[in-house]
Amino acid sequence: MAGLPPHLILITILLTVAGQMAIGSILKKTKQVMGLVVAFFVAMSLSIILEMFISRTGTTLDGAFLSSSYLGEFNFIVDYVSGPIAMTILLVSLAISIYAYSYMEKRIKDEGRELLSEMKLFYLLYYIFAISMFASVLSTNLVEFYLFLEVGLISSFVLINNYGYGERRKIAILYLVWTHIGAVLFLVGALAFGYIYGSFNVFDASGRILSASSLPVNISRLVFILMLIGMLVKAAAFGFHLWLPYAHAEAPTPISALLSPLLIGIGPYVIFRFLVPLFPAPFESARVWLAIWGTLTIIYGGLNALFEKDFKRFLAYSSISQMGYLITAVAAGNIYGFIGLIMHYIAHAFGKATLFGSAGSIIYHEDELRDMRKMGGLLKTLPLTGNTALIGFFTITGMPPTIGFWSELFIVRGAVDAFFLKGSIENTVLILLFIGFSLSISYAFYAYKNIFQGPPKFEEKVKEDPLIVGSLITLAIISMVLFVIGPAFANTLAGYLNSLNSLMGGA
Amino acid sequence: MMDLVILYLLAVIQPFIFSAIISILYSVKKLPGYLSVFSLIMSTISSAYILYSIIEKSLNGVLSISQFSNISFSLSFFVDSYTGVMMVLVSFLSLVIAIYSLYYMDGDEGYGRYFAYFTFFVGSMLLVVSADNLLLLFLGWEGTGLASYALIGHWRHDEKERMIGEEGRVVANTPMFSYPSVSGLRALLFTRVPDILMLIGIFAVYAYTGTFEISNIFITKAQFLLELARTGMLLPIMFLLSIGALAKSAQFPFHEWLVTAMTGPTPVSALIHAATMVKAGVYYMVRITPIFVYGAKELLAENPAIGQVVIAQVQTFYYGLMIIGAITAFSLASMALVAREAKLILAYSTGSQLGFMFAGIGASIFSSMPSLVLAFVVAHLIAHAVFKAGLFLGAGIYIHSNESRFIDEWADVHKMRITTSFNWLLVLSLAGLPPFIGFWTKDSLISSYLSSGMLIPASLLLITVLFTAFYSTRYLLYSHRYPAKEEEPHEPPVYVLSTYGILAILSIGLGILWPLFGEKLFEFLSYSFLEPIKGMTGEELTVIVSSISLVLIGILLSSLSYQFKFIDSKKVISSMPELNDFLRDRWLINILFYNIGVAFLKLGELTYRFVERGLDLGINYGLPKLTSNLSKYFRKPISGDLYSYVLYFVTGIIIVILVLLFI
Repeated sequence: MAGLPPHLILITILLTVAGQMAIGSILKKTKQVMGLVVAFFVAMSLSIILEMFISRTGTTLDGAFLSSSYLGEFNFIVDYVSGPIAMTILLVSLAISIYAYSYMEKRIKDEGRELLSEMKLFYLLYYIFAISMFASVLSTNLVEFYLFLEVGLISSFVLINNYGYGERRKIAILYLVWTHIGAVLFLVGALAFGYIYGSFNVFDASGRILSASSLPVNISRLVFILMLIGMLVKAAAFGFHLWLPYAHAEAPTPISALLSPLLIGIGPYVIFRFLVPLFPAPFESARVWLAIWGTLTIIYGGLNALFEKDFKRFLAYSSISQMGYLITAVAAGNIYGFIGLIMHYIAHAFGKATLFGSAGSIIYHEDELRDMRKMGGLLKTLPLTGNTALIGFFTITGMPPTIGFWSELFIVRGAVDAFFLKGSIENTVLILLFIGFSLSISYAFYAYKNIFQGPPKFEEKVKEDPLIVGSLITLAIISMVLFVIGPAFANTLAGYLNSLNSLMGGA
Repeated sequence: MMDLVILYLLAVIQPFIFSAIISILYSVKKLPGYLSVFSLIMSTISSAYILYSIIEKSLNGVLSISQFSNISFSLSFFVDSYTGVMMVLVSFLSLVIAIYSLYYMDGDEGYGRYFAYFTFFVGSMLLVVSADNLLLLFLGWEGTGLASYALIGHWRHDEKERMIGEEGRVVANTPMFSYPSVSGLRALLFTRVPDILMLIGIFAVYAYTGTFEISNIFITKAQFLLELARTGMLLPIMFLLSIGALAKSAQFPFHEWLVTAMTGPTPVSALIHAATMVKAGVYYMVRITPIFVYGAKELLAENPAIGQVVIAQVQTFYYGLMIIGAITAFSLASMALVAREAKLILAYSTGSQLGFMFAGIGASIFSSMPSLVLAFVVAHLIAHAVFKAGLFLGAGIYIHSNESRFIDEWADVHKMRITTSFNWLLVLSLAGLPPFIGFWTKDSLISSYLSSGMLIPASLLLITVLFTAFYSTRYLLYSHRYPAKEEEPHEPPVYVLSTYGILAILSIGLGILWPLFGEKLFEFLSYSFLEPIKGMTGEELTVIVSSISLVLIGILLSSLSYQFKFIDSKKVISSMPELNDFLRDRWLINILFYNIGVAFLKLGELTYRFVERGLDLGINYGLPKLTSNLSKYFRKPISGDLYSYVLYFVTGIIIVILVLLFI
């Protein structure tokens, strides 16, 4: 850590959020507000890139910034696991913040509101939302994680409430209540854990994961289940998914593009990051059932997506289905599953952001059009949107040349390693996974055919907004570039996870 | 070694880089086509040089460029006769087709996109035929699937002239025609879904062997089979490993995607049928077959008790493959007998020929020299690739000049002298007439079927030989009955003519030279299949005679009906309307797959209507309503009336006192 100022990430967060509030409020042009957000995202990215590359061991701690005898220490950890995820959050948020400029300008104007002040508020909330997700994945402490997660929840709640579609107030409340229940379940678990264990820290001062094996078995099981369910609600696993189609479909599209891949993916990520190492024994016994749950989520989301006719709701169901992959990956409980989880988080982030972006592009260019039955042949009208959406579909269905190819590979590998020839329930997981993959391919390309291919229903070619398609193309290109570095990244990650092996609980 | 690294990068990886460059420069006029041709020239030259080095230094090994040891992934390539030959074949044919595409796709709105995917396709296929690491192979495998999806659906807006099949023909609930976007989707689903099973199979193999390198599995094959047999997973694993190849190579009943894939531009059909995609399945099956065939033999020598069991299971499986191959060959050839569309005839014939190859792979286990039979399969693959590429390129010209894809709407094609002469050479090679190359390779395969002793598939395949000769000559003779148009038909430019011209000349030239180099080719190829063959027994005369006579009968029948009009084919057909419809509707297999699709859509609808809607109404709407109703009920006593409050107060006190008293 030599040469790096301590608290680099913390300081950047505080400065940029304060800067957005202070400088943002005195700016006179909406473009400047957007530029400020972009600049802050870049600054934030630089801080984490510095931390990632300066470190020799692969693990860097930002420095404890809050320490009390009861809560433990709040810190930020950057390693091969959290670093790439945090980077993904920043990159997607960065690209979408540019996208949001054109989109929200039109949205606010359509609603007849005052442009400048609304854009300021929007970008401030947007920045807080993105940064709180960013901070939560770097958290080292259960309470710290909860705090950042809730900041994200509140800011996204306000965003849906202010700028959403349809019955947005009702839906915002629905979203708030559901996911807050999830977060509170997590908090109750965390509090019980901390009360008995004496600390809420997950990592010690040198970045190693603390072991909680001293906990009594029945208590650790209860705590595990509470926290697990909390995170499954966040991840919209089957049964807990009912808020998601509403929230993600009716949120303003730039927010959907953040909510859908980034926020809900944190659920499975946290299961992997916190729950697996803290509760190896309960996790081990729940693994198979978690995998069944995950694969059922894939299938359930896929079946609904196959039927859904509203493009944004379709994508929301697809997100549910994708969360099933993440849950299955973590339930595999071995290194390959974990690599699959991290890579698929990244893949889904870029893929689904691209897809929501293209849905927004259709809404933007084609007069609020969302009904897939009225679409058709849109490649002719919106060629760039259509082609980037294809890359998005490739990414979420695991086709080369996108990062999704590698993530699918590792999810299957993790699942086969964990469940092949182990018993009939385990074999069921593999069969369900196969059905799930087939459904994903079906709904994705069936929808693509119906939306973008076929006889054009809109004849004249629209001039696509450069900011909108520009950010979409950026996301698509990143997804393809990540494909090239995929094997090297997975190899490094596997080495790192191997070195953590003793700390990874049952794995 | 360094040279080889550069050569492999130039041959295999370079097309991907060019594909990326083309996608960036997609809108520059004409440039994408030239870039693609340039890239394929480099690839062809490097592949040829690789093959030359392999022959010269008799290389037989693996080249590992880069290792990712933590995840067992590596950029490792085979350096052996099989890979060398396949690389040259793929890159050369693709180059010829790319040159043809410069003409064919000129002025198309998706010109740049076409060449980007085209180059990507070739790169992926080269990856498949050269990869040693199964994950690397799978990467190429998926790449071919992706590119075929994009190219089959190249004309994305489903203009009427792009469709395949007879418009409006619906059997039961199933449309028998297809538009590009539907065809692309079907190709993707048919190949991608089984690929997941294949991927599961690959990882299961890893669980047994601890490696993804095929060359390493070759070494431990006996141990691998022993473990498989012990856990009872031999047949399941063989199934998982081959299902992807069966689908990709359009074996019955997965042939449906290949038929509708004809909606793509004609050079794409040529590419898919000759050089890439469907050949990937055959390549891969031939590549992994030695593991099972020789593994079982090795095990039998080491451990006769288990070896017997293993060999019986492997034989069962390969017998199944042979049956599937025979059914594919027979059924698709029978469909080709009555097909009206030029490209459909050629597509059926591809499927049918692939059936021959799969039957050959299946027959290998019953041979005393399996590696020789595998070499036969590869030889037929090469022969088929050459003449089928040429046939498709020729068909593109016919369709273009007659403005119809139906052969019964073509005016007499024999007016186009040069094109039709070349096409005759190609057709006769497909028919299997000596001395064309198609004859020699088919003949070797037939001898292997007969010597396998499996009568049912062998007799089906023999009938197919007759069918093949009939439908292939029918393809060119049919238009004899229609007078030529008034104006002279235009031959395409010389460079276009030369593309299928080269292939036509190759198919006869190689055939004439075959007696000189055929055996050497088999010997050379067999080095890759673990048992090098030295000196071969000559062909059996009976096989040659029977195969030639079948071909001649087929040609005779077709010329009697179409050239000399001795038999009225229309009358024959109209006397058997049911059979005709059955063949025209592709044995009605489409109905099955279409309804699987419909069933899933229905299932999605039911899930949504009953489960999702129910949960949604119950929890998101019912629960809030319930609680608000409950609260209404609770709120009722709180009316603001002072009198009732006093009443509650007094009642409450009495209750408290009573409780206290009784405790």
